[in-house]
Amino acid sequence: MTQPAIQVQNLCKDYGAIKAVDLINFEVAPGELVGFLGNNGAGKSTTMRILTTYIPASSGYARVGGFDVMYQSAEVRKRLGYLPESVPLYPEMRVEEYLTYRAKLKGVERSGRTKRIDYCLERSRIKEVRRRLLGTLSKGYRQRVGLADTLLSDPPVLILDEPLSGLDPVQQEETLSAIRELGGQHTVLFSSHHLPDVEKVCDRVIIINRGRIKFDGRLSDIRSSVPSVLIEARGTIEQIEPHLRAVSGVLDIKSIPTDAEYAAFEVKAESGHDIRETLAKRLHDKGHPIRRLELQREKLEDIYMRISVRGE
Amino acid sequence: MTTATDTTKPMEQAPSDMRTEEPTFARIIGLFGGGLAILGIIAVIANHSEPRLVPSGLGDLFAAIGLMAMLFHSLRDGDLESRRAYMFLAIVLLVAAVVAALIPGPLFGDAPTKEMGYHFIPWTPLFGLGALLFLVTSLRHETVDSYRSIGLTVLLALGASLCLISIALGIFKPNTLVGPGILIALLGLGYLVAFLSKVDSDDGPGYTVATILGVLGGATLTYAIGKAVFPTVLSEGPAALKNAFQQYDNWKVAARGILILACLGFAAWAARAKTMAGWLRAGLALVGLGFAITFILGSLAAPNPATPEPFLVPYGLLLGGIGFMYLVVSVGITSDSPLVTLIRREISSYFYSPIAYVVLFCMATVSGVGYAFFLNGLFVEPTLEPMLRNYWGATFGAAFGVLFLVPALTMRTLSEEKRSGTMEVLLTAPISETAIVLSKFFAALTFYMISWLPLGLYLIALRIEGGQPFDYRPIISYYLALAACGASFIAMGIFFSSLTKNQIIAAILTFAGIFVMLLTIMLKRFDSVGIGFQNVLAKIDFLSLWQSALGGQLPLSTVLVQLSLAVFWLFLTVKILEARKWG
Repeated sequence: MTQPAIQVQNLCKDYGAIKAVDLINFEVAPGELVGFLGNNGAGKSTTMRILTTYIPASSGYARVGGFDVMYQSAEVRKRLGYLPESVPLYPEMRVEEYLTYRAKLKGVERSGRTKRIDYCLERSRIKEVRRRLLGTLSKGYRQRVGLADTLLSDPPVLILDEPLSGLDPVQQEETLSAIRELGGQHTVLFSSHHLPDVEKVCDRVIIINRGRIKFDGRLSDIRSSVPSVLIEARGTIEQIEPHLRAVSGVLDIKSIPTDAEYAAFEVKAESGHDIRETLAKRLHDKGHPIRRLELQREKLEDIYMRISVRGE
Repeated sequence: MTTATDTTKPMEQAPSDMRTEEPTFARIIGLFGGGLAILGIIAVIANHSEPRLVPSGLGDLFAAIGLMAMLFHSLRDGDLESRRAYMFLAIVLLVAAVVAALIPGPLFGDAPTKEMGYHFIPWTPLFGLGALLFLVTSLRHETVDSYRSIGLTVLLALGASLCLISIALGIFKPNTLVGPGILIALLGLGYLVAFLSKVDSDDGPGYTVATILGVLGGATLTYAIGKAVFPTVLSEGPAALKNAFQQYDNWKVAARGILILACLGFAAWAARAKTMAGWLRAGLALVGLGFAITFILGSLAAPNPATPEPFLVPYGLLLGGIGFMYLVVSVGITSDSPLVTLIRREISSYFYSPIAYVVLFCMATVSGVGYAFFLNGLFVEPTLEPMLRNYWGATFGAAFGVLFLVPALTMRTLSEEKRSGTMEVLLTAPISETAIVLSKFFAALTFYMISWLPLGLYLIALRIEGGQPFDYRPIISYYLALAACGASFIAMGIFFSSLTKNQIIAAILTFAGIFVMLLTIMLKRFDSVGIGFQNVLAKIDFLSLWQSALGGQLPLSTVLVQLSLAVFWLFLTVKILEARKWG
């Protein structure tokens, strides 16, 4: 069995009484492109900083490339490319100069260093600003210089903390393209608030809230999940719900607040059962006219809102 | 107009119409500087016939200020006419440097004999330095390949020639090292460093030149050590290992044995170091082996019957210093070691900030004032050798200079990295906390020592204008003492910088730390302090150390205390950085 590129088990990080990370477990396979979602203060950056050996965990363990982040941190750092949220750069250095400096620190061999730097400039789409001072670059370019830095030593694992924050739509699209191209050759774990962008590039999503992982699933599974039926009919919840439960194939019914004369429900059915016609006929027969009937597939945004806003 | 699909042009360029800002202020300064320089030069030349309205000294000052103003303009204005004019000025200065070196003098006045090189010091190094600065600033803006190529060729040719000449002088005419030799060596290094800064030193010709510089420096250093040591060892023979009763002294024998083992160990390490190139491994192994064989030979026999001439002080030290300087610069440029890479970036970062130039200017001015007081003292009454014991460096003025210099150098070392977030990027790269701290330390110490350079360089003027030699060797022991004390102060400053994100707080803490040390030393002056405590204070009294050094003595125990303090503060700093991993 292939060793996971990232392995986290029972990881905790406490800041006094505050549990920033609370018993999280996940694994990332080599070549996977994983989106790490959560509100501010959810524990994303803390988790990433533990994985990059910058801060220690309070308990549990984490491994990158098979090496423990605490006890084999030097080996981990050789196999890691990290882009922090703030993209700190030295304003007085030029782009190429900075990348050369970082390449030397990361042990990139002299014989192929110039070619490697050219490749990273090309890949991150910053070749045209190679001679510019870092202090004069826009946020988008700075972000991409940070991305080029992460690629210098061709590390197997890339950890990118909010690489899209503060970028305009065009910059976001360009950065996303660069990240998308990295998947497969590299294992990428990147955090973001911007759900549509995560949906565009990631294979898998992990949602963290208040230090705990609330969702960990493949986007393909979300897209192919069983849709629920949204139905609104005239009558009260007490009147209509029994009729819905009586329909064969119904698994779960959840009432949704609506106006006084109507009751709304979200009905989940067994996989492969389209119960819309059956529900509509049943309620009509029982004297409850239908105002709305639609198939609703749960999107990532719904899951995220459910977890991060409603705390489910 | 760029579109979202146009990938050939930068997407984020705004406003759409960009105009380069004209360097009007720089041009005004340059014009003013040009006028002032011409006035100064005319004043200097005219004063040679008879005293004029503008005295010669003021003329020198006008010329210097004028040239600095022109240099500022050259740095800021990339206009074609401007950069070509300054390139031409650089060539004129080069020609003037060569003429000053060759023309018999004195040029003005009637002298019975005129000798070549009379005007070498100070004009050749001064003109040479001026040419270098104007060449570098004009090349900075040069976009035409042919002119750029010519400029780089001039830098390389001059740099290589001057470096080789200085080494040749050191080997064949060592008495020229004091004065012309060291100045030629520094100038040559300046030209080569300027060349290397403008080409890719990671690969190609730049890397080759830097490597050759290192080989030259290493060979020179080896030669200097060898010439200083070998004749003495081979002349003294086994007698050097014996005591007054002509019996072998166990300690001396043990020390010689350790030395031989160290040389053999170095040779073995060099031969096995797979990370180095083959030719380098072979060369270093041969050097180690050669030294070992010489020491073994000198322990068994005295094949050199003649008493060797003293070489170590000052020629050996100066030639070895030149070789060491070349070697260090070469390693700094070519080495891929993370520590060397970090040190190089740190040193460069000092010179990106205008504060560095303000600090250098202030230290040069303050040292100049101290030099003026010292000169005044010499005129008041005759001074016995070593007359440098009364030099400004031994006074409280120097201590107060350190009080402000060290916080200025160290306050941003780690605090700025923490504040800006670059510390996170550094510590998540495959480098150790020790390397980060040491790089900050060595860079700050280097800049600190550069700040003290004018203090020694002023003595060259004393030698030239005074016309008589004096014992300058105490300045060497003084620089060693300064380096040791600087190491402990800077290490303390870096430690305080590691405690906070605020540079000002770091500076205040460092200032307070040095001030407390100064006050503690003052306690030694009070009779009420017990003898035991007095002895302790004597070991940390850096003012007494400086005074002793300028008197020609270097108390090793006090130097070791300062170095130990440096190690202590650096150790603490590494632990502070590592503490983030303690949970």
